Amino acid sequence: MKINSKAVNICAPIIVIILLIILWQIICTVTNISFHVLPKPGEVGTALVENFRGTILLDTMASVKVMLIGYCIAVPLGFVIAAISSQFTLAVRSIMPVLIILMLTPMATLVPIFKLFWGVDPTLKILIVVLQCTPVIAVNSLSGFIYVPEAKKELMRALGCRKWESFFRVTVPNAMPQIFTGLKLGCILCTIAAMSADISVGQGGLGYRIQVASSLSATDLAYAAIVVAAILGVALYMIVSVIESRIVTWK
Amino acid sequence: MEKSYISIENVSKVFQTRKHSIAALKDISMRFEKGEFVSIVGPSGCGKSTIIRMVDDIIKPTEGSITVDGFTYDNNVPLSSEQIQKLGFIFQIPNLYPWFTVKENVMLPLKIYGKDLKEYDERANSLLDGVGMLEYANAYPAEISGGMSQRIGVIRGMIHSPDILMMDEPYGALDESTRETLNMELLKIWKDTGTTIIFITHNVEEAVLLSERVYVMESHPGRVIADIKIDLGEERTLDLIGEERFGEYCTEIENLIGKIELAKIK
Ligand SMILES: Nc1ncnc2c1ncn2[C@@H]1O[C@H](COP(=O)(O)OP(=O)(O)O)[C@@H](O)[C@H]1O
Ligand SMILES: [Mg+2]
Repeated sequence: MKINSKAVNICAPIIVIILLIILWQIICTVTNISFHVLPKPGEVGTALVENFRGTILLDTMASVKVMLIGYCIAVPLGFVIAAISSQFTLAVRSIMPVLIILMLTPMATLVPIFKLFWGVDPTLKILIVVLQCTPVIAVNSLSGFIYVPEAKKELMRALGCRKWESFFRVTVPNAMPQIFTGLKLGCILCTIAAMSADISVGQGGLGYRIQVASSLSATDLAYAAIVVAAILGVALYMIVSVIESRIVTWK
Repeated sequence: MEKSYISIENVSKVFQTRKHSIAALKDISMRFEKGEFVSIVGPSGCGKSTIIRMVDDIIKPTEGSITVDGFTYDNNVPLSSEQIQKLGFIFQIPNLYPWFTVKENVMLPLKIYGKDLKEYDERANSLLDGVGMLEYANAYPAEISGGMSQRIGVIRGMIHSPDILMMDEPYGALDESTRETLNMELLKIWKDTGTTIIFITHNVEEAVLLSERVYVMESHPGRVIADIKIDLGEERTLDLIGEERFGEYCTEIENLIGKIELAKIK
């Protein structure tokens, strides 16, 4: 059987999602589970529509702002950290483990400490996103920058290119696949960080709405906010994937 | 002493690895005259690649001096762009950049030297055509075979019409007939342009067929053991292979290499 790969790539995940929603509906009906634990898909949909103009739209805009500003700061920052440290063997050895530790640290846990210094400031959320995304972008870019086959660098030397010229002509394109791995992992961490920042800082955002709604037993609204948060994460990830397929055309 | 067009004088090269220091070349001297076609043969690991990589300024010698066209290399400073552009280097592996198309790979030296690419478009196309790759100009290296990539590596090395062309076992991945065709093409380019060619091969017949002179080397540490003039006249064609004198040259060189190998085993 011949499968048209482009159509399959688009349709297959959509079908799986629809099947999962059906499964969700069946579980709710069969087990008769409480609305407060797991509302039916239809109820979540209704909550999403009913609360859209009142709360969800504003929360979404607040979250998008935090995510985008944080991500757009993290990308060049992670890249520059990786580019500079890749030039020094000692820096690679000393900075790489630190970046990995930072990458694994849930930054929202630092909020109580930050609050002590700065009080509650809306920019705190952006800081959390930047702190969470930068290390994963830097680690992946750096690992791409340091594994350049010797022959590829030799060609640069044979053509008389010096260190930085060779970096931009060979090291960066050679690392493109890893750089994009970092950028895509950054999308995931960006969404998680923005939600946890909402929860620990407060002051609006989808994460904040999820917390407030569930504490008020408005579980359908909480799920609606979760769905929107997931869509934001997926959208960011897909934008980066499309950019990747435009840039990494040679694979 | 009068310098040749290319003079390698008392050059040694020691590679430092984490645990060992490898004496790749010990006190070697070689000379190449302008317009000469010289091959270097010798067992694997004798330092053939190391020599031309030093002439191409990819690596620096540990000791000794290299002079090209009256300019003696500074062992601490890279060559100027003007000096580099006199040289062309063809690697043992194709060494194409996967993110560039075939043609972009061929044009890369020109781009780096800041040339007007449009001026060279015709030359690039005719070189691509010469190796039967014109229809693949816009393909990516991942889409063509190893042998095709090798041919692209060869023409990338000569796209800027270098005065000196160094070739490091350039036809490794190619079959016999493509190899012969490209060799004849190379001889034609050499005759037409007067390029100085340093050709590395482990194929003794190929060395004798193409060259005016053959350097024979031994290994551990790499040294030159013979410098053999090949008097087979101007006209080199595949017909030479059957001739007696051609066979004699091959036997002489193979014996030289064989003796070393034998002595090593004993
Ligand atoms: N970058 C390097 N680091 C360590 N040893 C090397 C390096 N390059 C070459 N060598 C060593 O130098 C010797 C000569 O190598 P090479 O010039 O490649 O030989 P050939 O081209 O004649 O086969 C070999 O013993 C090889 O292992
Ligand atoms: Mg070699």
